[in-house]
Amino acid sequence: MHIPDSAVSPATSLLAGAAMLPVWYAAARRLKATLATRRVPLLAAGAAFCFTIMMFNIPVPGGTTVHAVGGVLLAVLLGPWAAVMGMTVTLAIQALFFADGGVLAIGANCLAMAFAMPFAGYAAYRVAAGGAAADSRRRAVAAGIGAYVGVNVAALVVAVILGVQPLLHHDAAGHALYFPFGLSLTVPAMMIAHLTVAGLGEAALTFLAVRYLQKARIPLADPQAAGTAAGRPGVEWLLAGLGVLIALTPLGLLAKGSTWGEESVEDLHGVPGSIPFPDYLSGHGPLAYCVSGLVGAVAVGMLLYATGRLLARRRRPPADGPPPGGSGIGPGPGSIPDWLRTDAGAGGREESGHRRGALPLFRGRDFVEKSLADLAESARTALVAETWARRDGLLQRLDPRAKVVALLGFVVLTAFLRNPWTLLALVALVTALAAVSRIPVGVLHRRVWLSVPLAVGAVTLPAVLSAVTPGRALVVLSRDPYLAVTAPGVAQAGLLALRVGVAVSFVVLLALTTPWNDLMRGLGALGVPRSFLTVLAMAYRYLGVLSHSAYETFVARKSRTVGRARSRERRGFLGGAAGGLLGRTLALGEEVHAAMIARGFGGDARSLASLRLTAADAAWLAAMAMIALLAAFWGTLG
Amino acid sequence: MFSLENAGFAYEPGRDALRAVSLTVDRGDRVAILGANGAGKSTLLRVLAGLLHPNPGTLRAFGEEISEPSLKDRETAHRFRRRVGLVFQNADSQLFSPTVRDEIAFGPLQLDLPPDQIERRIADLAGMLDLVDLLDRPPYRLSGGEKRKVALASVLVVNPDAILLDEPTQGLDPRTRGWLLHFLADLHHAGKTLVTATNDLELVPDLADRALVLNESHGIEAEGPVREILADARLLQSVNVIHEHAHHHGERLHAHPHFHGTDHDHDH
Repeated sequence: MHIPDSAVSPATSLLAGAAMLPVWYAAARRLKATLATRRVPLLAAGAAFCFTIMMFNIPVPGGTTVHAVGGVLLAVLLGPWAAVMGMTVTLAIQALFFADGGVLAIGANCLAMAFAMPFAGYAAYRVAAGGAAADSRRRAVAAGIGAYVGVNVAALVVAVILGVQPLLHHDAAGHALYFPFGLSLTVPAMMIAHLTVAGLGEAALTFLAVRYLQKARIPLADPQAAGTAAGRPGVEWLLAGLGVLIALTPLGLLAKGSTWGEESVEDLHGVPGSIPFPDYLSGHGPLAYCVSGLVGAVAVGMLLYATGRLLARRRRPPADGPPPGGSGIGPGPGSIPDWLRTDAGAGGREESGHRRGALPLFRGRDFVEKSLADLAESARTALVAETWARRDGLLQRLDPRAKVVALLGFVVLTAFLRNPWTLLALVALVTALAAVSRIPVGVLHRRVWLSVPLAVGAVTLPAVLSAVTPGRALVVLSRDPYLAVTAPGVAQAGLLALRVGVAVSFVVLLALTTPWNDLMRGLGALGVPRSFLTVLAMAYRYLGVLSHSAYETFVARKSRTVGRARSRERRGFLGGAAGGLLGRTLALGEEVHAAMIARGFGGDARSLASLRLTAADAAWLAAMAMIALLAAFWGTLG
Repeated sequence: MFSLENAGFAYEPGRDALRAVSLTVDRGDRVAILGANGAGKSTLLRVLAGLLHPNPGTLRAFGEEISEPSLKDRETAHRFRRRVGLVFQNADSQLFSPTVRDEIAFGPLQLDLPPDQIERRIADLAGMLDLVDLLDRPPYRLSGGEKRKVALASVLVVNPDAILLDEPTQGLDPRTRGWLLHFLADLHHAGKTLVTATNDLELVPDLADRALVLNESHGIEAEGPVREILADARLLQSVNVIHEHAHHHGERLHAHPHFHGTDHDHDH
């Protein structure tokens, strides 16, 4: 459910980012106040874990795949504020290094997955869990319910953000400039997929992982650690309610932002697709709509708060059940049980179905295997990227700050461009920069343009049809009912794909030419807080360890089973493996934290070399600024 | 230097990891902590390193009490961390920086050493430990032996008085292992205090002058000069650091307590 760059308007991205700012600020402050440095490695580990499980794609009927997110699991384990940070870090790594989800669109993605999801999910979890004991099955079920609620809320937010795009941003002829489908399409499409397969998958994964953690006696978030003062049990209610509402306000905010001055209400009626609440807009104007939305938000917030207070009064203090006694495993030490003896006979027969020869991982393709293959591929790409980043080329020689500013600046600029020729010129610029930086141009473009159809192409394809975008027919597919590929439709879908591709190109170019460490420092120079970068850098560091660990878990399991497991078993295994992975991740987090403290870690990231901008960097910045200005002039006219 | 009194520790209530352990370490001492898996060796090292805090019991180091509240003070924490270094058993958890250079620089940067001095020390250590070509590589892609060297370098760079080592030879090939023993001997001659946790008895005579033996109920079973401790087969067998070794001499089955690295006499 990641929104790519340039699929939504810059205004949307910036507004969503602005909405996230107070959340990030509050999360950082909350965590700093309550937990100091102890949470840093834990958070990093949690983020890396979420990243890892997002790689596990589950097939849904209809040929596409969805993946788990893990935001609610993090909230249940570390508290919702920690989940905000963890998910933000995850999304940042995906955007920066794997071109999955946009850099500019990070605010929008965070709003859905790092804010709405953990808070809504955590609130549902708290209700469902009630005062159940920490190790009770009910708590795990509650976590599953929370996950179901959370992932659906997140999906709804994404659907709304995408769905308002054609309404707000279109050219004079009424053709969408950004995402082409209205709410009447995005909401059902996202919700059907998430209410069924994705929601159940997320719920199952979270349930199984929490069960695992309970068995491993890894404590779940207690209200203190979660940053929720025990004396104010209503707070998370209020926040959850507000989270959902704020997440849905792009509707209201954006209607306000773009309707004033620019478009009249009549214009909006001319837009193909659907208009939400047309009565609101035509009858009372956008201001009235926003005010009523605000009033509604406050009312629902108060209602939630009151409900929370009432429930809190009835809530029993959570009972600490005695830990279940460990049971002995099999026969005592020293004696080899009979079934283990090779000469016993039965063992040999049991083993006969075991396949030998080829590496088990690449036999057949079930979804576990596919996910692990994806994982291995990502890790490999990251490593390959690091070798290119150390080659001697133009971009590699630049100060990381100058590079980050210029290349991310182009990502922002791209979102404003409407002229396909300007976009093509930027493709040429990327190609030229790659060439002088000794990056194989083919590799760069393959990586970009093969991923773009996955990100937007398949979704926007129907937009070329007359049913969605009326206009001059290029190819008539059917006379009755009338269906044709229209010229404006093709132009519109092509423009969107091109824009996303160009934005992704700049990010990939940055990632390929910059070692991770320098990238972090460049971001630091841009004003990204250090504490956040520390978590980000550590999460990245854990990724390698975790993906290796996930792979080994899989191979270990594979080596113990006979033939192909049924789909259901595989899913069960996946949930258990996710729990195991999380347990191991957290243990690793604790261990690394101890190692850092032993060497005097005081909470902030420090670096040895000081960055210095040279004349070359200045020249580079000047040249890029010129090109950007030209592109802005030329590209926003058409 | 270290004075630990009557220290206990439990990771979770009711499951002790240490029980009533007292230990005094003086400047220049070489102490080995022996014990079976899970006896509490690593826990004891972490208590000495001020990562875990004994409850009950107290730790005093360099003349001041080291406790959770006292380490909250930045000055005290810096003083203590500069003088005590811990080399973790699992190098992977100790190496978390993007490059070897960053890894070695982490400690001194956190402890406010001046940057030019850090650069000099990194260069010296890299030369001494043969890490020059690895400085710009990510630590997690090194071999096991190289990782161990980087972990050592990252601790030595702040020039600590006391070095705590958790199973330092585990997983090393014979040559690297030999090198490490020599290196630790050199550190000792340079005046360092070494506390080593191990269940690899073969290297104890090279590593330590004094040994502390933890039993399987997490308390001290014995303490004394390494020679005496290693000579006491019954003691070592009772705490499960040596095993009854059975082998055949011709037709006869012969059994005796055994650990690898010392000879035993056969009187048959």
